[in-house]
Amino acid sequence: MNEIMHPGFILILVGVLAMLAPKAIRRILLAVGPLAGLYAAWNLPLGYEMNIGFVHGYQLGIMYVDKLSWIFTFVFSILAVIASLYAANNPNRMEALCGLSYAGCAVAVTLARDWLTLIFFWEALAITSVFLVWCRNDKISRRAGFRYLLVHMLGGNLLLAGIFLHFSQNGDPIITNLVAGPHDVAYWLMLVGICLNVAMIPLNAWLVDAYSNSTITGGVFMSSLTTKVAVYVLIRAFAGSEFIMWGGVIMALYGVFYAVIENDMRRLLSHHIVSQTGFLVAGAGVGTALAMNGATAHAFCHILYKSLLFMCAGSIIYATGITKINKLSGMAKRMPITCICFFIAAFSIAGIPLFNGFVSKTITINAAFLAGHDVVYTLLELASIGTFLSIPLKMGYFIFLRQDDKQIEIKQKLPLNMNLAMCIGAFLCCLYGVCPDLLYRHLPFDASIYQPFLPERILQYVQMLGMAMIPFMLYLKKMEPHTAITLDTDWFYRKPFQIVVREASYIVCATCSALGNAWWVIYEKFMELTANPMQFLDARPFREARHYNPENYRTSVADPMMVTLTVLLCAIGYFMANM
Amino acid sequence: MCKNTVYILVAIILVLSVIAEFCGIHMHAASWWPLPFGYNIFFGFVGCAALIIFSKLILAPLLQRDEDYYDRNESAGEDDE
Repeated sequence: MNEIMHPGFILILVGVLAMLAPKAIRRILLAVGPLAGLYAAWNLPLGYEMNIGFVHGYQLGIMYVDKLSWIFTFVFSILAVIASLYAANNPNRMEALCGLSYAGCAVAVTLARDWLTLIFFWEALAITSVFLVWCRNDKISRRAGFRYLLVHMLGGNLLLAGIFLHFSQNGDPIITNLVAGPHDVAYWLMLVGICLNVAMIPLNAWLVDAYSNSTITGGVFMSSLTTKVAVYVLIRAFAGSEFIMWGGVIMALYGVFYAVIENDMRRLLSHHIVSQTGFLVAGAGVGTALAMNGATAHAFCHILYKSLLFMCAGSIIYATGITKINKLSGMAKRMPITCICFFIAAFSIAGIPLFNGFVSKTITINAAFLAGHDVVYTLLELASIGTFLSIPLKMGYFIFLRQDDKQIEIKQKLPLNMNLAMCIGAFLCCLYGVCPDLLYRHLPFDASIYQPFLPERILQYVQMLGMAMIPFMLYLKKMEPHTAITLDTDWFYRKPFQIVVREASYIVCATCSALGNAWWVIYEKFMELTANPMQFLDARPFREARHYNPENYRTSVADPMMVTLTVLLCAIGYFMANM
Repeated sequence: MCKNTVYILVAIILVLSVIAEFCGIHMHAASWWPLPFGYNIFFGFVGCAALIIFSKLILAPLLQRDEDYYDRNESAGEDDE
């Protein structure tokens, strides 16, 4: 038997089986099934490729393993194991199918060798994930799902158009770096299509909108896959583009600013996905081997701690039904395991030494500095401070640590599988934070060996983040979020564009109806005229003469008298002239 | 969590780190200007304060709306449920 199997297809298969199986078996399948995918991913040999024949001798490269695609495949498979375990008690069949198919498609995009295979699974990614929003099955999520789908179809079609143009110009069907090539229409179409998935400003609003409205377990899958798949494609095809470097820096800061004033837990975390993805995109944009290693390592760590944060937020929502930070307090006592896991993830995302964010985030920041991008370096450091401010300090304090002055009822206890999934996530965050070599040895690019635990670097972070606590404490009262939503770039298509669409459809409908009426009048007249040729010959077409009336066909008395008089006058005139 | 405890804790950490900085751990010149002593302390404080002030004083009044902001007008053309 061939040992090498496609881990993505295994995940999709487990999803299909889980959907078909009865409840008890589905739980077991969700809890342990994705381990098969992880095993297959671990065993992928470097350099392996698998092609399938397509039309005109075109070969679809459905699997190509190099170091870059391997590490992304591996971390997506880990995520599938954790998130699926977290979802094991979820009775919804559709979610089981879509969650695992979504993870499978993410792996398939990662392993794709050519653009056509990529675009196929790229679109499947959007289609499978939208059901993770719709499965919540209420009005808000239904609308959010439609917005998500429409935005992603736009992005997918831009990418598809770019790929077709690229092919038509005899471009390479294999995914290779395009930055050195011509920056033509195809290049920009592809870049914009991918930037939409990476949530680059101003194409970012779909992320916060959809992720915060997804199901509890769906959010864990979504938080880790779509953007990171797009980052992978950026590293592979667009590394070294200055455009995406600055795009990444703007993302890193933009998400941070929004997170400071956000009240909804999962919206806040979603703003931080934008921010952290900004680090990855900036790393890909810097384009040196060290920076791309940094982006890869940070994507790896980001998936671990961000899924853990979403699991913690999901657990609180599962247990209490509350999503807003200002309605929560004192959760440390009520949910101690969630609290510990949350702080491990929060310290990881903030880049505190000995947690996994520190060993990966600093590579990118350092690489930007070494490549001579001082401003990028300083702005990314500022974004790090912002991350520390809004997740460990703001969320940690207001949700878990502050004095318990609110009546919060734990409606249902967390099941074992949820706690277990969070503990595995927390363990991995600590493991990679303490032993970064486990991660570094798999990094794809040949860069100088990076030492994370230099004394001056640790000192720098201790001073910087320690000092950042002072303004937080000074403005503590102001930091508590209040009930409000913050407008994002989705405002443009939810307000003005909505009005434009509404007015345009009104004009179209009004024109249609007016044209229909006019057409009806013309039709009626035409039918009336042709129904009776006599009427037509009557030369008075618009006379009301629908029913037979002899008066209409009787010549008036004046007519023969006029004729007679005319003839008489003519005759008299003739005789008078000849006399 | 008492405010004073946090202040004291931060003060202890900073004093220890400054002593360490004196004792020979040299920061890299990690910027386009030569890195002065205590730059990270300054950057941590000012950066964080700037983030809070900008978000709370400028972004929040500019961009925050009531929670039903999007639903108010949408319900007009809605035949859902």
